[in-house]
Amino acid sequence: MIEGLLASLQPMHLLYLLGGVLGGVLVGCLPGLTATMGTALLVPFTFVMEPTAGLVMLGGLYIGAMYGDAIPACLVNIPGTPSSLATSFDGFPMTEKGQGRRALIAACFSSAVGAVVGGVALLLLSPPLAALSLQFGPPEFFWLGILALTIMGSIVGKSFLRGIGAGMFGLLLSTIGVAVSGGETRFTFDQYQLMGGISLPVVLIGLFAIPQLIKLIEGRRTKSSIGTLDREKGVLRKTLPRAANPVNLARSSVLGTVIGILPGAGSPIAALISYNEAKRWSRNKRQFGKGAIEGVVASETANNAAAPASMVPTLTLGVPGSSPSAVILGALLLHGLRPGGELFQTNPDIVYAFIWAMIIGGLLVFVVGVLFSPLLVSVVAVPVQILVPAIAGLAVVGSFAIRNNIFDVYLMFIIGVAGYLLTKVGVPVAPVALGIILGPIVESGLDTALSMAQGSSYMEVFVLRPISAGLILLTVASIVWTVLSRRAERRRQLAGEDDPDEPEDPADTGEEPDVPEPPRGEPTGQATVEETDQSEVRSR
Amino acid sequence: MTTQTDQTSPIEGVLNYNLFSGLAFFLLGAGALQAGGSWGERAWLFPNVLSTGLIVVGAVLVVSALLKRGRQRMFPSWGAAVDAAWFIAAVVGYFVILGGLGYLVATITFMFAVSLVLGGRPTLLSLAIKLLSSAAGAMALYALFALLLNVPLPEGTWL
Repeated sequence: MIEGLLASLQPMHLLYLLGGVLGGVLVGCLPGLTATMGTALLVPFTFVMEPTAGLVMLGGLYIGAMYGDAIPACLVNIPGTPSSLATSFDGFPMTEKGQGRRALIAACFSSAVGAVVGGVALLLLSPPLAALSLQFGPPEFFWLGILALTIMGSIVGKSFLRGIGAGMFGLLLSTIGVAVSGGETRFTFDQYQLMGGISLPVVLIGLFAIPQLIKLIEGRRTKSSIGTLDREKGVLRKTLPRAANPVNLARSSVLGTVIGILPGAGSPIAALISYNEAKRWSRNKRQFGKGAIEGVVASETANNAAAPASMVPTLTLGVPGSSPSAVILGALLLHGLRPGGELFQTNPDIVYAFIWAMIIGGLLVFVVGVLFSPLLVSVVAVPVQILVPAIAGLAVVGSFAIRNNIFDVYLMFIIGVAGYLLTKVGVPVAPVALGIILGPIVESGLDTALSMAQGSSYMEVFVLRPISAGLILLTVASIVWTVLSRRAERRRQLAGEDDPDEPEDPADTGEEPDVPEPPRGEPTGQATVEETDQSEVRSR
Repeated sequence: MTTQTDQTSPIEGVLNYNLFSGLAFFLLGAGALQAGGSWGERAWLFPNVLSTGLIVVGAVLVVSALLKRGRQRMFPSWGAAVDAAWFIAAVVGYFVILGGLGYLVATITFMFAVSLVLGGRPTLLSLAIKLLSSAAGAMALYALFALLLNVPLPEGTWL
């Protein structure tokens, strides 16, 4: 273990690590480029390096990308990867309030904490954690997906039912292409490009970038840029004490680590569950979705803890815990290193150097994040007429690069316009994205569990397994808690206890506030906006 | 919270999020049921459950819209709607020329067109600045992806 630490601290290895972290931040912050793609692009270059250097760089890239994806999520409300979906819920409202730099610093700080905790867990607890991951079978993955969707439906938007409907629509979209079992093609409408399903980055870019661009265009007459530039001094000093809530950090790190080790579950679920728990236990739960720093911290800590944790089953069992770890597994094999318990005996220097690189990489993420935050945050002051076409150009690259197919660009745009229309009728788009992410896990879990049930009973397979029972209880508790808390909120509103300092912000959820029907003949707010628009047009 | 006043007409009174989202879910579910009826049992099970669920959720939302009446403002002002419509048209135009002209030239054209429409009254100097900044922006994207990261970009007659 100590040899590994010393190896990772060699100047040359530190340089590779820094290069990996910087490359990862760049890959993560460009929508459409994922940590998987970044690690895959890097693997060929590691052939010519010695194994330790190559793996150190791959580890740095993975950790860097997990932070990098929070940058567009916070600044322009477009998650760089699925993992930062929950980060955007509060990161972007913070930016709109002129606290973009605070959001970025909170994100890099919590990313560093998450990566260090996940890395230490990987270092010390690999064998028992790997054993825990083996307890999760198809029924458990099915219920885990259902739990995540229920949570998403309850935390996003004002209506639980619309959130659940959006999640179901996302799951339905995930079934496009060749069926999990049977090999039939579904919902392809004779388009061969849809045979492989809808690519996830295409969905993410479409659902988040296009509606956001249209909203910027719609609001350009009243708002010439996303927000104001955060020029206050001592942002780091002011942000860290608020971000460093030990309970939130500890809870999110543990959740990220535990969920991260489950093969296929991954960091988006970890971030979402952690965000939900932070909201549930927070004294400022009404600030969540409106720019609560705790929300950014919870999501980023968990998704960064999940990254090293996903290496636990990869290194100990040879079962990749996530897509980037599958690529890293390939790199290990190409260097002649076979995963398993033996790996820690035969090549401890290389394995432990790789694990230490992920921990040190977490610390480097904090340094890089703090140093670059003043530069990065300047994007919020870029005028809409420059920002919008630039993001549109990026969106084209991101959606085209996945499969080198112009069809994906068209699909991204169609999904984007559909997403825009959905937000206009009060349907949040985040559950749609999560549904597409979780669809394959839920469907294959259901399919395999049904096959298992043929030999026994549905009750035994779906309900009576201890982890399944626990997940069902959590799902039910989540629904009950949502219904009760919303009812209490509505009662408070009716009683006029609404805090005037906490106005509803439609940007949080893509919804607009209810507008009381005015008596006939009286001007409405909408009319006022229209009048303003027309007078501006006339003046031009 | 939905509200209702005596002045609301019967049709206007139900024009809210629940009605439109409910109808959308209902139609999506019904369409999916219609599209997938002929598949095998294993392939159809999951989409069938989801389609039925969407129909149920949609129906509940529509019923709740009818019971809890109240109009909500869902659509932007006229000016904003026109802006959104032309932007969507501009993006469609961008995609049309993308395949023919290639990423670099199409992106310069698109960026220039958008900055032209969104910017104020054009002067010769502002036009030159917009053209140069569009070219610089598109070239920066091209250099970053095509040259530095080796990511393939849509190709056409030109770059």
